[in-house]
Amino acid sequence: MLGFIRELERVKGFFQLLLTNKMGLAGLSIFALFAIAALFAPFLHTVDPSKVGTVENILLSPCRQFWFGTDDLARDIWSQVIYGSRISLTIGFLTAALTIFVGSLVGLIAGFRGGKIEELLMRIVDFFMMLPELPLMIVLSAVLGPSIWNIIFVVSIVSWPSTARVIRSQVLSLKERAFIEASRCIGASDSLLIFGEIMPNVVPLMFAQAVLMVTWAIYAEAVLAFLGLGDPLTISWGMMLHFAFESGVMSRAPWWVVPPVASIVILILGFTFLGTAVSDVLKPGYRETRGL
Amino acid sequence: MALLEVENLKIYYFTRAGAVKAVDDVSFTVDRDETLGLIGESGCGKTTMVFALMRFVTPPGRIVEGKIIFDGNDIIIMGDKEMRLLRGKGIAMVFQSAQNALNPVMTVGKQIAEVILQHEGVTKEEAWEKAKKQLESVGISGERAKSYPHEFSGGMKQRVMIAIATACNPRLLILDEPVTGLDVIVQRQLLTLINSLRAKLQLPIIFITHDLSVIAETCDKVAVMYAGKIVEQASTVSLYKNPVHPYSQALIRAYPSIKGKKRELRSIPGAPPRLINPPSGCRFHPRCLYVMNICREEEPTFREKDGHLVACHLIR
Amino acid sequence: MKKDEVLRVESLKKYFPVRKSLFEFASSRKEEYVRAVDDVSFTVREGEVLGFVGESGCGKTTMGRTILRLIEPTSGRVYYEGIEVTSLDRRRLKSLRRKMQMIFQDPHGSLNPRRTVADILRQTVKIHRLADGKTEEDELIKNTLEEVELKPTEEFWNRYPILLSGGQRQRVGIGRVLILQPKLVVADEPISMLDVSVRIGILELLLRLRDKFGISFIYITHDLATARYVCDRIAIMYLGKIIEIAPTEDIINKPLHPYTQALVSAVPVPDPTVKMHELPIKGYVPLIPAEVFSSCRFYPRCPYAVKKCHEGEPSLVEVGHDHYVACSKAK
Repeated sequence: MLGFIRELERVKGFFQLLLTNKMGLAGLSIFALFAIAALFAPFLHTVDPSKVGTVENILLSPCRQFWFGTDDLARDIWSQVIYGSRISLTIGFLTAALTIFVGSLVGLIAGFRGGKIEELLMRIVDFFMMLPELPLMIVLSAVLGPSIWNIIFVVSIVSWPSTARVIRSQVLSLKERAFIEASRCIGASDSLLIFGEIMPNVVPLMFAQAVLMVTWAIYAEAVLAFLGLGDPLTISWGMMLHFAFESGVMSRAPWWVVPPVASIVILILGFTFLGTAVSDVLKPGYRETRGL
Repeated sequence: MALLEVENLKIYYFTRAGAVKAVDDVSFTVDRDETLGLIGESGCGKTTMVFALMRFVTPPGRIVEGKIIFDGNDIIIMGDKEMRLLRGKGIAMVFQSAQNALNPVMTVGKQIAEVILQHEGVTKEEAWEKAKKQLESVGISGERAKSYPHEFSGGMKQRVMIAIATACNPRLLILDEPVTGLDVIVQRQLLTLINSLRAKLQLPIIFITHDLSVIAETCDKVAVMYAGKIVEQASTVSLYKNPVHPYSQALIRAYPSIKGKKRELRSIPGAPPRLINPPSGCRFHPRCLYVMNICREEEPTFREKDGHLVACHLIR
Repeated sequence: MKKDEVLRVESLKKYFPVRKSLFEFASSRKEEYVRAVDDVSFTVREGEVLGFVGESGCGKTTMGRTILRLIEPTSGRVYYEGIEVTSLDRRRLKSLRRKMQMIFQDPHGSLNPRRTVADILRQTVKIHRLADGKTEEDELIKNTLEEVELKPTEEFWNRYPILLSGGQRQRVGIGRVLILQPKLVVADEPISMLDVSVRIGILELLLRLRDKFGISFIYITHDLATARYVCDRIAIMYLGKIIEIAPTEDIINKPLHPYTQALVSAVPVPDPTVKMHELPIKGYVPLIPAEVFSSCRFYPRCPYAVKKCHEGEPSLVEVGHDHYVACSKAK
């Protein structure tokens, strides 16, 4: 029980520290904005985003009823943006989680073990890295069919190798440090060394990679949806741009294009700020060196 | 007139967390024929100060106050071009782990010749000849001018650095931990070389180190630095025989010697302070055996005792 | 095996193969080795501090690690209290690790930067199951912190290494090993990266632990002056071999091997009235000791070399009370 409370205190402390960092503040605010949109979507002056409206409401510019106007099927753009944040955040987080999990595991084991295992794993990584990302995603999406889960899978497949490479490099240099030799001398087993000693030192890098992955996933989904490979049942921001493009009235309806583009850009920016701040704050002794 | 006069030098590093007072009101002189040893532990400011002598202090560091008068001219207010001409020809410096300062893709001869060409109006052939002679002067065969740095051992690379530094007959040579990290026999050979060069070229030297025994072998007078300040200045012989400042005493007492009877050694409790927030009053007071109330409140000024300049309240 | 012998090393060798480029390999297929440790034998007595002094490349660091099997020896045997360490399997080696440990040179690098002081010590406790439950663990950690003089213990408990001074970090490193209650500790240059004013404190700590717990130390260093203060006996190493081993004051005052004599006279003295003498030695230590020695390995630099020195390597011979030298001229 006491341990749980101590953990909560630590997490609270971490967030307080994060907020003192300017980038952290900016990143958290942006994330909070979109998170609120995602969580409280039904209460934010929204209607069903895919509900087709009546003919007289087609392509309306922003007005009192439709805050961002309507699209060519009289659907409320504001609602689409709000509900779209759910999709972006979900895809972003799940993809990042999958990529980091697989990539880090491979990087840690390959980097630490060396020898034949490293050779084998790194050749697999090399193979995947050779494949061109966008075409591969397009082909896989086309083959697997359009759905959110497929998108998550496809983006992860394409992204995990670079994480593995990056993590492995850091492991290679950490492996030579004296504290690893010292722990080995005390009697630590290989798995304790990998997961108990090296991994905590790799966590900041994993976070940085995770943020990169979130931003990449959001961007990749937008591209895939724009190309028409997205899930037609869910209207993500990329999907909105796809419809806008297909309709042919893109140049005459800026209120349709600007909100999704702006959302994508701002969300990606927010995560980038957050990532930088988190990796700074996680460095041991951060609190003291800032004079707090 | 002394060759070098440093007056009330203050160098601070301005960081987000506050100002680090790396060098805080330091004054000393070097005459034309003497070797000054600067001794201190990590973080005492000796390297920062010596960088200031070559005006290498870069932001966030800044020379806040003071004068550095070299041969009558204040270096701090000198123009950039004048300063550049002074480096290498007026004042030359050999850095710590200087071996890493050698360009790995250039022959050592070329690196020496470069310095000569920079400062003296000679032809390339003349510079090359002079470079070979420089190598000979530090005990390396002139034939090796065509060799690359990686073909030399650590001690020999250090000799090359000295050859580069003395190539243009500087008026003052600064050595920053030149023998730290070298094996003892190599170290001894290098110290012998430094002493002989000093005699042959009549070269005044500022020798920075944390090693008491090295200073004893090479320097005429010593300045002891602690936490950004000089706490004692005296001739080497006098300092070792009769250290006055409690820090100097403690330092000498903490130093093992291979000769003579095995004395009892004593460590100094605590650790050197962080200069972002140095102790109030005398900076050594938290570790001093003789601390008094005034030591916590007031910074001591220099007073004279037995020919030493000491900053300590114990001296009336 | 004598009764008070804690460690016995017999003919220990560690050779590292020299990596050859394809071209070199084609021109000479013979494997070349760096003979880092070349037939080293000695014993360590209970409660003694045995120093190993030599310059870089002499093999002292490799030897320290080979004894503990952090590096596997090429050949030779190591006995800890009669048990042959070199032939143990992994499981039994792990339990022997409790008795034979190491302190490292770099105070900054030898502690995991993302672990607090208490966690670093706790790891040792957990790996060897030295305590039952958290309360016992904490008690053990607290006692160890007090033993290495990191007091008040609450202040250091949750600190990260980045906020410790060099001396404090070394104390944590010593504490990490002390929890195991080892009988033999190899100290690899434990103070060379510390400030002068802090060094003696660490040496005093080691001596105090020796007196209190009866721990024997192998003290590896290049600094003969400090070795004098902490060692009972000193072994001088040159290019992978012990060339002289004797009680400390004998090494300092009556060195017999020409290399030892050169070392002793090369050490600078913190006394400006003592002048530096001419060194009785020539040349430099070869960069990589890769040749086989058919003569005394110090021959190229020795000022007293005679023809006899060319005819095979001299072995360690007792020439005085507990004083051994490997030199054909030392009598």
